Amino acid sequence: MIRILCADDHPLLRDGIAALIENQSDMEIIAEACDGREAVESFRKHRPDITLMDVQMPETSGIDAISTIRSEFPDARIIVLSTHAGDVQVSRALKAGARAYLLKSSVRKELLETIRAVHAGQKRVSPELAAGIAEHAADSVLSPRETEVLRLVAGGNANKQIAARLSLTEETVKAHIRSILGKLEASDRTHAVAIGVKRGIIEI
Amino acid sequence: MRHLEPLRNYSALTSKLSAGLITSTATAFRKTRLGYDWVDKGMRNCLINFARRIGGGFVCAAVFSFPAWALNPAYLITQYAHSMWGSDAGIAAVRRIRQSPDGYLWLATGAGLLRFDGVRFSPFNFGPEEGLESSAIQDLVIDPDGAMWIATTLGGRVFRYQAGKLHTYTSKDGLPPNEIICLYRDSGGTLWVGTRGGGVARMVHGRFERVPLAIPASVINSFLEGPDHSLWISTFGYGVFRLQNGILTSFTVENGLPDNRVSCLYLDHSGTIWTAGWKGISSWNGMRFTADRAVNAAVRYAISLSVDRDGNFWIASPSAGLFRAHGTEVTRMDRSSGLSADTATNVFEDREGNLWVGTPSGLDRFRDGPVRTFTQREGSIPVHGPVVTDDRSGVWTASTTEITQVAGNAIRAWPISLPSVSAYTLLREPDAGLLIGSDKGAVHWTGGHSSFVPELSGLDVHALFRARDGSIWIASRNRGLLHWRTAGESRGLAPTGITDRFISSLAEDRTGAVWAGSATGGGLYRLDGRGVRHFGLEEGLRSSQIYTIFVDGQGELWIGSTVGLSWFQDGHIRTVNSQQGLPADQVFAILGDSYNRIWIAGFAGIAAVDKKSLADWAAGGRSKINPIVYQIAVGHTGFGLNIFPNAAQTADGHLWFSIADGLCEVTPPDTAATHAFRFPVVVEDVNIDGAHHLEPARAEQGRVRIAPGARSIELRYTALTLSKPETLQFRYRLDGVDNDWVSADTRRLAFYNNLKPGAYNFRVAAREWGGEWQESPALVLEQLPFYYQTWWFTLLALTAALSVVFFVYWLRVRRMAREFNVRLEERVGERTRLARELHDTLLQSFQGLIFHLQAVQDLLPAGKAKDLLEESLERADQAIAEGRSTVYELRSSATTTNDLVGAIQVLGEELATEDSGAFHVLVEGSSRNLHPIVRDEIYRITCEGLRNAFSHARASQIETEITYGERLFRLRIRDNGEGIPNSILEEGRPGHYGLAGMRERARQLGGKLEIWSRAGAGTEIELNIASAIAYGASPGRSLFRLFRRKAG
Repeated sequence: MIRILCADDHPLLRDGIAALIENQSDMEIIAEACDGREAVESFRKHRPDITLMDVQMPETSGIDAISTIRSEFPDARIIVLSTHAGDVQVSRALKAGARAYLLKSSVRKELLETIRAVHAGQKRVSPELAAGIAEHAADSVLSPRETEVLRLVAGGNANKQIAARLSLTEETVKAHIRSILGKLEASDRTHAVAIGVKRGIIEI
Repeated sequence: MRHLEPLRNYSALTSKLSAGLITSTATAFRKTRLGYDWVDKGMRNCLINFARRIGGGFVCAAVFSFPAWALNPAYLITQYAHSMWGSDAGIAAVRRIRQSPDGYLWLATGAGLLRFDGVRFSPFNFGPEEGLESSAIQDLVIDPDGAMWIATTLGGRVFRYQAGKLHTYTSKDGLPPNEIICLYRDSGGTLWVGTRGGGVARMVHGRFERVPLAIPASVINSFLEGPDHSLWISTFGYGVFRLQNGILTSFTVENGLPDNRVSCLYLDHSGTIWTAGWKGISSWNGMRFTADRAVNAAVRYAISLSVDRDGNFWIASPSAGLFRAHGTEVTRMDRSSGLSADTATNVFEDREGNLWVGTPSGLDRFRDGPVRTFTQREGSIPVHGPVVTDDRSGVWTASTTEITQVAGNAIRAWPISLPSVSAYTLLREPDAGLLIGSDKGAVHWTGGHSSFVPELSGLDVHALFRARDGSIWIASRNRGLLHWRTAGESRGLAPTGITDRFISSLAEDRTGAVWAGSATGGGLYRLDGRGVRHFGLEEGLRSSQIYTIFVDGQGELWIGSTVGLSWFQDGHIRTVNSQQGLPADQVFAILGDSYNRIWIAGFAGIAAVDKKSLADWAAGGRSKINPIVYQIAVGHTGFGLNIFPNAAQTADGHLWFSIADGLCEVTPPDTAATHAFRFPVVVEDVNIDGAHHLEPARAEQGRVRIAPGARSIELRYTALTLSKPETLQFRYRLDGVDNDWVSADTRRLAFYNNLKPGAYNFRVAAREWGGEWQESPALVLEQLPFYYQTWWFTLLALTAALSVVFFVYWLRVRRMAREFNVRLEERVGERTRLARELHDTLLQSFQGLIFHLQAVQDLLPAGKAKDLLEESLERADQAIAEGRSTVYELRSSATTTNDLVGAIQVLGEELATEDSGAFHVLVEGSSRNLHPIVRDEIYRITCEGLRNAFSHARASQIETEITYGERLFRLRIRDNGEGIPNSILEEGRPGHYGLAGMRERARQLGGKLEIWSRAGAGTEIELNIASAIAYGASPGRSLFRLFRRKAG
């Protein structure tokens, strides 16, 4: 019996996943969590065989939760469920220790198979996601500070507000943005945000 | 004669003196007519100097000339034109009279220095020097360059004034502390100072030094440089001294002086040295002085002497007034005969020949001209009497009781010796007797014997006239005009048929016709052998009230009436009056002279009119005639009206007029001399808002700067001629303000108010009656502007205003852009929130549902239901994928690339079908990044526009033009298709929101959408969006860019 922890902030989605797994004789949902922190606690408590982790969750994000769990339980087998196909997010999730990365649009058909594969010790990343990672493998990676700036840009903040939030000078913020535009090959801020979202550097 | 021993240090003085004097030999006097040469040269130098100064550096080509009016010795002293000014003119105690090179008269008075232009006395303001202006002035000397040396009674001080600067010399400068009595400037330019008890000093190299002369301590009251450059010094008590070649010689009564108390020295026009003092005057003959017996018999004490150009000696006497001596004839004038005081202190002849007399009461001027009068002052002269001439240049006149003859200066009267006869008219008889017309008939008068003419008894005779045939025409008050033949067959008195009882003048023309003028409106009658012809208003006379008629030497008839002077020319009666330039309309008397002039007498005096100018006027050749006008001195106005004859010409050509006071004699002057009269005209003072502004010296700089805000400007101008200044006519103009000359008549002031900033030329011109206008050099009045009246201020203000407008505009654009950007950001935020909502909630929920359904499907046995559900699930996946992508679009933008042009190109290609027209995208300007949302909206508007064009227009050409302007982003969509029907343009296509939607999108963008369309002519849609909105750039940047471009 494969014991599964399902962490997703959306109850209907959790229900849906539970319904998919309920019909299977070889697996069961032993616990659910609605955010990253709860997922970590639940993991500690139940020690599931497989953890289904949504990336975008309030409080502690899925990636952070993965990192925490993996730091405590290096054997933890975690499958990331995400709506995002962005290479950065995929690779970030994998770096954090996820064994598989599954797009939610693929969950219906591939979830059970992936759970079984991961439980069997395999890693699973769908081919198109792998291609995305490969495509940007040589690209410069945004620094954490730049990622932060980009996130604030995406939040609709002007340079001045970003500077205030990050306790930087406006000039520095501008320099960061120039660097971001360069690294993402974006033509303007909006473009950069779009790319950032697409590649999973930031979520919106 | 006694030579004094030369002083010990005399050689030094001698060399200095001779050095000074040698330089003056350039202007050495010639033996013949020395005085005139000296005067002429001096005057010319003065005038040139003057012209230089007033011309402000320009050489003034005009050389001024003055008529050499003489003081005719034949005239009685009372007959000169005499004017006087006393305390009512603000002057008193005139001690010394001088003339400066520019022509002003300067009066040293007991109350300061006065400047006089012949009309106006100006107290001369020296500036801040305390006490000088009110000081009694003792003496002054005026250098040829206009510098003035002034001594006051204060003593020990000499002032020098030039060009607004006053310098005071005191004992520190070497002056003796004594009272200064006289100043003198020799021809070498050395200034000499005579003192009371302090001897003689002179100026050497800017310092005064005492001249150690062996002259006893007394009053040194006069210096004179003789023709041989010796210096003469007069003293009061010790006679006269001569300093010649360093040797001082003394002259006293032993040398012929009348007395040792000498008052002054004088050099006459012929180079003779004269003394004046106690016991009269004396002259130096090179050896000794000779007293003038004739003068000294009458003059007890002479204080001042002047010899005029006609050889009249004018002597001021402190005790007896003014004396004129000519030959042995000495005449005296004092207060009773018209002088301003009973004593005179100074006599001075100006360069025009006027004689000026200073008295303790004021100033007197004597001049003569062509006019002199005989009144009760000169003798027993009847007033308003008829005047006839005799064979010897004498004239006769009559009163009710006397017959008077004037011959030369001699006036002789006889009683008529008939009781209660009023003499109205005179007629010369061939036997040298007179026929007197009276109210009791006619009286024959000869040699003092009177007898009634029996033929004329009972007639009230008012005019008698003898025709060339010897017959006499008689105008009577009781029987009209009668004709009296005294010889021949038809002798006797005959009526003429003219019953007019007021015939006042009679004349005979060259045809022998006799003319009669009626004084009371009867007009003019002409009588010849054939009868009487009447001339009235119908015949062309302007007035039927005739004062006088006159036939001149050419036999032409002249008519004087209430409306002017009339004459016959080409069969018409022509009339001139004040409108044509006559001094007055009424013409009371008419005479002609040998210079082809007509003389008329009227209220304004006597005027001479050139006959040629009258003919020219009548022929239309000129609009004005310029008569020469002589005003008769005050008290002499009024001419013999209704007296016949009231004017007559003597054999010597002199004209006599009957006037209210007696008779007036005119010596007709030569025309050319009068018209050559030229004199300087100057602006002497400018007062701004009541403050004396312009120093006389500064007026000559030719430019006056007027401080901003000046309200009233008063210009005082004058003409520098002293002969007849009161009759001078002025006109002036300020170019830029006056369009033409402003006639000022005799006024010597011009006023202007509130001049606008700028420079104006002020010119003034003067002339005497009938003379040429003499114009002043232009004086530039520069009204300085307030700073707000300057062009640079205007420019600055305009620039500032433009900047403000521009700044406001910039602010507004910026604010609009900011508001718009804020709106855009809000919309971005809104979209993002919506997208997250959709993504996080709705899509996740659907996803969850799909998982549920999948779970159900897993449970279903294989079969149709399972397949159907599978199919549904596939579609649901697609739907979610689509939803997700829509959400994604919402989140970022429709076109993640910025290539609007490319997007539109692709769009056009997508819309194109096989039969649709050619599609082009034109781009102008370098591509700029558009704000993403703006870009989307533009894209959507373009979509709508192109869709319309492709679907409905049936166009062969469809074009999209994109302009990335500096100030505007512009999009145009054009087609050459059918156009949009008006109904759709106005109301929109039913069920479609296309055009309205486009407009709405444009409006929300802050842009402007315009659609032009006409059926069959295609459609053009233009979208304009301000660059600040379209590019999301700050307008400031684009402004700078604009400037930079402009600058570049």
